[in-house]
Amino acid sequence: MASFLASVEQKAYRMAMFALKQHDDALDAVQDAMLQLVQNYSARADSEWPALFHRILQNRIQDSHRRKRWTRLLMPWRDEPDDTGITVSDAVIDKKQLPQVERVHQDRAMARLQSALQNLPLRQQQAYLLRHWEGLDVKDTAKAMACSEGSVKTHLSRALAVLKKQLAEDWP
Amino acid sequence: MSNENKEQNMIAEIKRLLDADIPDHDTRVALQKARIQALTGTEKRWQRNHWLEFGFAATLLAVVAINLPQPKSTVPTVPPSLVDNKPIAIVSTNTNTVQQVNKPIRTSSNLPSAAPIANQVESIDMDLLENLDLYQDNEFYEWLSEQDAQGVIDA
Repeated sequence: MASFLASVEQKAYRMAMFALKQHDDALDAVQDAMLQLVQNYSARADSEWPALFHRILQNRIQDSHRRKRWTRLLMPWRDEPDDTGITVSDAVIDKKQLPQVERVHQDRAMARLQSALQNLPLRQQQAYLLRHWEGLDVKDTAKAMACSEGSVKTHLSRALAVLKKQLAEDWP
Repeated sequence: MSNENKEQNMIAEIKRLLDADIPDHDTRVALQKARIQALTGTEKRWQRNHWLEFGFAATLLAVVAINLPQPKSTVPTVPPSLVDNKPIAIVSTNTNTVQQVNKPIRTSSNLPSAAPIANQVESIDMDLLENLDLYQDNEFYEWLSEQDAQGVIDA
Protein backbone atom coordinates (compact mmCIF):
# COMPACT_ATOMS: atom_id res chain seq x y z
CA MET A 1 0.00 0.00 0.00
CA ALA A 2 2.82 2.42 0.88
CA SER A 3 4.52 2.00 -2.49
CA PHE A 4 1.22 2.33 -4.32
CA LEU A 5 0.42 5.60 -2.55
CA ALA A 6 3.93 6.89 -3.19
CA SER A 7 3.50 6.14 -6.88
CA VAL A 8 0.20 8.00 -7.25
CA GLU A 9 0.43 10.86 -4.77
CA GLN A 10 2.08 13.44 -7.03
CA LYS A 11 -0.21 12.83 -9.98
CA ALA A 12 -3.17 12.83 -7.62
CA TYR A 13 -2.09 16.17 -6.21
CA ARG A 14 -1.70 17.65 -9.70
CA MET A 15 -5.14 16.37 -10.70
CA ALA A 16 -6.67 17.90 -7.60
CA MET A 17 -4.86 21.16 -8.33
CA PHE A 18 -6.24 21.27 -11.87
CA ALA A 19 -9.73 20.80 -10.49
CA LEU A 20 -9.63 22.80 -7.25
CA LYS A 21 -6.99 25.43 -8.09
CA GLN A 22 -5.98 25.75 -4.42
CA HIS A 23 -2.91 24.16 -2.88
CA ASP A 24 -4.50 23.45 0.52
CA ASP A 25 -7.72 22.07 -0.95
CA ALA A 26 -5.76 19.81 -3.28
CA LEU A 27 -3.57 18.55 -0.46
CA ASP A 28 -6.62 17.87 1.73
CA ALA A 29 -8.33 15.97 -1.05
CA VAL A 30 -5.30 13.74 -1.64
CA GLN A 31 -4.79 13.11 2.07
CA ASP A 32 -8.46 12.20 2.57
CA ALA A 33 -8.35 9.87 -0.43
CA MET A 34 -5.24 8.13 0.89
CA LEU A 35 -6.71 7.81 4.38
CA GLN A 36 -9.98 6.37 3.12
CA LEU A 37 -8.21 3.92 0.85
CA VAL A 38 -6.01 2.66 3.70
CA GLN A 39 -8.88 2.43 6.15
CA ASN A 40 -11.51 0.88 3.94
CA TYR A 41 -9.87 -0.89 1.04
CA SER A 42 -6.42 -2.08 2.09
CA ALA A 43 -7.74 -5.65 2.19
CA ARG A 44 -8.75 -5.50 -1.48
CA ALA A 45 -6.57 -6.85 -4.28
CA ASP A 46 -3.72 -4.55 -5.38
CA SER A 47 -5.11 -4.39 -8.90
CA GLU A 48 -8.26 -2.70 -7.60
CA TRP A 49 -6.44 0.08 -5.78
CA PRO A 50 -5.90 2.52 -8.68
CA ALA A 51 -9.58 2.66 -9.65
CA LEU A 52 -10.68 2.79 -6.01
CA PHE A 53 -8.19 5.50 -5.10
CA HIS A 54 -9.15 7.67 -8.04
CA ARG A 55 -12.82 7.15 -7.38
CA ILE A 56 -12.39 8.37 -3.80
CA LEU A 57 -10.28 11.28 -4.98
CA GLN A 58 -12.72 12.31 -7.71
CA ASN A 59 -15.64 12.12 -5.28
CA ARG A 60 -13.71 14.30 -2.87
CA ILE A 61 -12.92 16.79 -5.62
CA GLN A 62 -16.57 16.93 -6.65
CA ASP A 63 -17.62 17.51 -3.03
CA SER A 64 -15.17 20.39 -2.77
CA HIS A 65 -16.48 21.82 -6.02
CA ARG A 66 -20.07 21.70 -4.74
CA ARG A 67 -19.07 23.24 -1.43
CA LYS A 68 -17.26 26.07 -3.24
CA ARG A 69 -20.26 26.68 -5.46
CA TRP A 70 -22.55 26.96 -2.44
CA THR A 71 -20.08 29.17 -0.60
CA ARG A 72 -19.89 31.46 -3.63
CA LEU A 73 -23.70 31.56 -3.79
CA LEU A 74 -24.34 32.12 -0.10
CA MET A 75 -21.32 34.25 0.74
CA PRO A 76 -20.34 36.17 -2.38
CA TRP A 77 -18.20 38.55 -0.33
CA ARG A 78 -15.84 35.64 0.38
CA ASP A 79 -13.91 36.06 -2.82
CA GLU A 80 -11.87 32.93 -3.30
CA PRO A 81 -9.25 33.47 -5.95
CA ASP A 82 -9.66 30.96 -8.75
CA ASP A 83 -6.48 31.33 -10.64
CA THR A 84 -3.93 31.47 -7.86
CA GLY A 85 -2.04 28.46 -6.75
CA ILE A 86 -1.33 26.94 -10.12
CA THR A 87 2.05 27.99 -11.32
CA VAL A 88 4.52 26.32 -13.55
CA SER A 89 6.62 24.50 -11.03
CA ASP A 90 10.14 25.70 -10.46
CA ALA A 91 11.24 22.24 -9.51
CA VAL A 92 11.14 20.66 -12.96
CA ILE A 93 14.33 18.71 -12.97
CA ASP A 94 14.43 18.18 -16.72
CA LYS A 95 14.19 21.90 -17.36
CA LYS A 96 17.57 22.60 -15.81
CA GLN A 97 19.27 20.53 -18.46
CA LEU A 98 17.51 22.27 -21.35
CA PRO A 99 18.92 25.21 -23.27
CA GLN A 100 17.46 28.59 -22.40
CA VAL A 101 15.31 28.96 -25.55
CA GLU A 102 13.85 25.50 -25.25
CA ARG A 103 13.14 26.03 -21.57
CA VAL A 104 11.19 29.20 -22.30
CA HIS A 105 9.25 27.38 -25.00
CA GLN A 106 8.43 24.53 -22.62
CA ASP A 107 7.30 26.92 -19.88
CA ARG A 108 4.99 28.65 -22.33
CA ALA A 109 3.58 25.36 -23.56
CA MET A 110 3.06 24.19 -19.99
CA ALA A 111 1.26 27.39 -19.03
CA ARG A 112 -1.07 27.04 -22.01
CA LEU A 113 -1.67 23.39 -21.26
CA GLN A 114 -2.49 24.13 -17.61
CA SER A 115 -4.86 26.86 -18.63
CA ALA A 116 -6.55 24.62 -21.21
CA LEU A 117 -6.91 21.75 -18.74
CA GLN A 118 -8.25 24.02 -16.00
CA ASN A 119 -10.85 25.47 -18.32
CA LEU A 120 -12.24 22.06 -19.23
CA PRO A 121 -15.50 21.10 -17.53
CA LEU A 122 -14.74 18.95 -14.47
CA ARG A 123 -15.95 15.65 -15.92
CA GLN A 124 -14.04 16.11 -19.16
CA GLN A 125 -10.95 17.07 -17.20
CA GLN A 126 -11.28 13.97 -15.01
CA ALA A 127 -11.82 11.69 -18.00
CA TYR A 128 -8.84 13.07 -19.89
CA LEU A 129 -6.39 12.99 -16.97
CA LEU A 130 -7.40 9.53 -15.76
CA ARG A 131 -7.38 7.99 -19.19
CA HIS A 132 -4.48 9.70 -20.94
CA TRP A 133 -2.23 10.75 -18.08
CA GLU A 134 -2.81 8.24 -15.32
CA GLY A 135 -3.18 5.53 -17.96
CA LEU A 136 -6.33 3.82 -16.66
CA ASP A 137 -8.26 1.89 -19.28
CA VAL A 138 -11.80 2.94 -20.20
CA LYS A 139 -13.33 0.43 -17.79
CA ASP A 140 -11.31 1.61 -14.78
CA THR A 141 -11.84 5.24 -15.75
CA ALA A 142 -15.57 4.59 -15.76
CA LYS A 143 -15.27 2.97 -12.32
CA ALA A 144 -13.24 5.89 -10.98
CA MET A 145 -15.73 8.40 -12.35
CA ALA A 146 -18.77 6.34 -11.32
CA CYS A 147 -20.28 6.50 -14.78
CA SER A 148 -20.68 4.28 -17.85
CA GLU A 149 -17.91 3.51 -20.33
CA GLY A 150 -19.95 5.32 -22.99
CA SER A 151 -19.96 8.48 -20.91
CA VAL A 152 -16.20 8.25 -20.48
CA LYS A 153 -15.74 8.04 -24.26
CA THR A 154 -18.05 11.02 -24.78
CA HIS A 155 -16.21 13.11 -22.18
CA LEU A 156 -12.87 12.11 -23.72
CA SER A 157 -13.78 13.03 -27.26
CA ARG A 158 -15.14 16.40 -26.15
CA ALA A 159 -12.06 17.09 -24.03
CA LEU A 160 -9.77 16.20 -26.94
CA ALA A 161 -11.69 18.47 -29.29
CA VAL A 162 -11.36 21.42 -26.88
CA LEU A 163 -7.67 20.77 -26.21
CA LYS A 164 -6.90 20.47 -29.94
CA LYS A 165 -8.56 23.80 -30.53
CA GLN A 166 -6.85 25.57 -27.64
CA LEU A 167 -3.41 24.09 -28.14
CA ALA A 168 -3.33 24.35 -31.92
CA GLU A 169 -0.63 27.00 -31.69
CA ASP A 170 1.74 24.82 -29.71
CA TRP A 171 1.07 21.58 -31.61
CA PRO A 172 -0.02 22.50 -35.13
CA MET B 1 0.09 13.03 -40.98
CA SER B 2 -3.42 11.72 -40.36
CA ASN B 3 -5.76 13.25 -37.81
CA GLU B 4 -5.47 10.21 -35.60
CA ASN B 5 -1.69 10.45 -35.59
CA LYS B 6 -1.88 14.14 -34.79
CA GLU B 7 -4.17 13.37 -31.90
CA GLN B 8 -1.87 10.66 -30.58
CA ASN B 9 1.11 13.01 -30.85
CA MET B 10 -0.76 15.69 -28.95
CA ILE B 11 -1.73 13.25 -26.21
CA ALA B 12 1.87 12.03 -25.94
CA GLU B 13 3.21 15.58 -25.81
CA ILE B 14 0.72 16.57 -23.12
CA LYS B 15 1.68 13.52 -21.09
CA ARG B 16 5.38 14.34 -21.44
CA LEU B 17 4.78 17.89 -20.25
CA LEU B 18 2.65 16.83 -17.31
CA ASP B 19 5.14 14.16 -16.26
CA ALA B 20 8.01 16.62 -16.42
CA ASP B 21 6.27 19.19 -14.23
CA ILE B 22 6.58 17.74 -10.77
CA PRO B 23 5.41 19.56 -7.62
CA ASP B 24 7.91 21.68 -5.70
CA HIS B 25 9.89 20.47 -2.70
CA ASP B 26 7.48 21.72 -0.01
CA THR B 27 4.53 20.07 -1.71
CA ARG B 28 6.41 16.80 -2.05
CA VAL B 29 7.25 16.87 1.66
CA ALA B 30 3.62 17.65 2.52
CA LEU B 31 2.44 14.76 0.35
CA GLN B 32 4.94 12.42 2.00
CA LYS B 33 3.67 13.46 5.44
CA ALA B 34 0.09 12.97 4.34
CA ARG B 35 0.92 9.47 3.09
CA ILE B 36 2.65 8.51 6.33
CA GLN B 37 -0.27 9.86 8.36
CA ALA B 38 -2.70 7.91 6.20
CA LEU B 39 -0.71 4.70 6.64
CA THR B 40 -0.13 5.07 10.38
CA GLY B 41 -3.32 6.93 11.19
CA THR B 42 -5.57 3.87 11.07
CA GLU B 43 -4.93 2.98 14.70
CA LYS B 44 -5.30 6.57 15.88
CA ARG B 45 -8.51 7.04 13.94
CA TRP B 46 -9.90 3.80 15.42
CA GLN B 47 -9.05 4.97 18.94
CA ARG B 48 -10.70 8.31 18.31
CA ASN B 49 -13.80 6.56 17.00
CA HIS B 50 -13.75 4.27 20.04
CA TRP B 51 -13.88 7.25 22.41
CA LEU B 52 -16.47 8.93 20.25
CA GLU B 53 -18.63 5.82 20.40
CA PHE B 54 -18.20 5.64 24.16
CA GLY B 55 -19.12 9.29 24.58
CA PHE B 56 -22.11 8.91 22.30
CA ALA B 57 -23.36 5.88 24.23
CA ALA B 58 -22.97 7.68 27.57
CA THR B 59 -24.84 10.72 26.29
CA LEU B 60 -27.60 8.54 24.92
CA LEU B 61 -27.95 6.75 28.26
CA ALA B 62 -28.16 10.05 30.12
CA VAL B 63 -30.82 11.36 27.76
CA VAL B 64 -32.87 8.16 28.12
CA ALA B 65 -32.55 8.25 31.93
CA ILE B 66 -33.72 11.86 32.05
CA ASN B 67 -36.64 11.25 29.73
CA LEU B 68 -37.85 8.01 31.34
CA PRO B 69 -41.62 8.22 32.02
CA GLN B 70 -42.08 9.22 35.67
CA PRO B 71 -44.59 7.13 37.74
CA LYS B 72 -47.83 9.06 38.29
CA SER B 73 -48.34 10.48 41.76
CA THR B 74 -50.89 8.47 43.81
CA VAL B 75 -51.82 11.49 45.93
CA PRO B 76 -54.76 13.29 44.33
CA THR B 77 -54.56 17.02 44.00
CA VAL B 78 -57.65 18.09 45.86
CA PRO B 79 -57.92 21.71 46.91
CA PRO B 80 -56.61 22.07 50.48
CA SER B 81 -59.82 23.75 51.57
CA LEU B 82 -61.64 20.47 50.86
CA VAL B 83 -59.07 18.25 52.46
CA ASP B 84 -58.29 20.12 55.66
CA ASN B 85 -61.83 20.48 57.01
CA LYS B 86 -61.84 24.18 56.32
CA PRO B 87 -65.29 25.71 55.91
CA ILE B 88 -66.54 26.29 52.39
CA ALA B 89 -68.68 29.26 51.50
CA ILE B 90 -71.66 28.42 49.28
CA VAL B 91 -73.58 31.28 47.75
CA SER B 92 -77.19 30.61 46.86
CA THR B 93 -78.20 32.77 43.94
CA ASN B 94 -81.92 32.26 44.48
CA THR B 95 -82.02 33.64 48.00
CA ASN B 96 -78.84 35.72 48.04
CA THR B 97 -77.70 33.93 51.19
CA VAL B 98 -74.33 32.58 52.11
CA GLN B 99 -74.03 29.16 53.74
CA GLN B 100 -71.00 27.62 55.35
CA VAL B 101 -70.32 23.92 55.00
CA ASN B 102 -67.93 22.52 57.57
CA LYS B 103 -67.95 18.97 56.33
CA PRO B 104 -65.32 18.22 53.72
CA ILE B 105 -66.67 16.62 50.61
CA ARG B 106 -63.79 14.30 49.95
CA THR B 107 -60.45 13.73 51.59
CA SER B 108 -57.25 12.25 50.30
CA SER B 109 -57.93 9.08 52.29
CA ASN B 110 -61.25 8.15 50.73
CA LEU B 111 -60.42 9.06 47.13
CA PRO B 112 -59.51 6.13 44.86
CA SER B 113 -55.77 6.37 44.50
CA ALA B 114 -55.55 5.55 40.82
CA ALA B 115 -58.51 7.63 39.70
CA PRO B 116 -57.70 10.36 37.25
CA ILE B 117 -57.61 13.83 38.72
CA ALA B 118 -60.21 15.10 36.28
CA ASN B 119 -62.75 12.53 37.53
CA GLN B 120 -62.01 13.45 41.13
CA VAL B 121 -62.60 17.12 40.48
CA GLU B 122 -65.81 16.29 38.63
CA SER B 123 -67.11 14.17 41.50
CA ILE B 124 -66.28 16.95 43.97
CA ASP B 125 -68.25 19.41 41.84
CA MET B 126 -71.23 17.05 41.72
CA ASP B 127 -71.20 16.68 45.51
CA LEU B 128 -71.10 20.44 45.91
CA LEU B 129 -74.13 20.80 43.65
CA GLU B 130 -76.05 18.11 45.55
CA ASN B 131 -75.30 19.84 48.84
CA LEU B 132 -76.31 23.15 47.37
CA ASP B 133 -79.70 21.64 46.37
CA LEU B 134 -80.09 20.16 49.81
CA TYR B 135 -79.54 23.52 51.49
CA GLN B 136 -81.84 25.22 49.04
CA ASP B 137 -84.52 22.59 49.87
CA ASN B 138 -83.94 23.19 53.55
CA GLU B 139 -84.48 26.87 53.06
CA PHE B 140 -87.65 26.15 51.10
CA TYR B 141 -89.05 23.91 53.85
CA GLU B 142 -88.14 26.46 56.53
CA TRP B 143 -89.91 29.16 54.54
CA LEU B 144 -92.90 26.82 53.98
CA SER B 145 -93.17 26.07 57.66
CA GLU B 146 -93.03 29.79 58.44
CA GLN B 147 -95.80 30.41 55.94
CA ASP B 148 -97.82 27.60 57.48
CA ALA B 149 -97.32 29.06 60.93
CA GLN B 150 -98.49 32.43 59.75
CA GLY B 151 -101.44 30.87 57.86
CA VAL B 152 -100.54 32.66 54.62
CA ILE B 153 -101.02 29.63 52.41
CA ASP B 154 -104.41 28.72 53.72
CA ALA B 155 -105.63 32.21 53.11
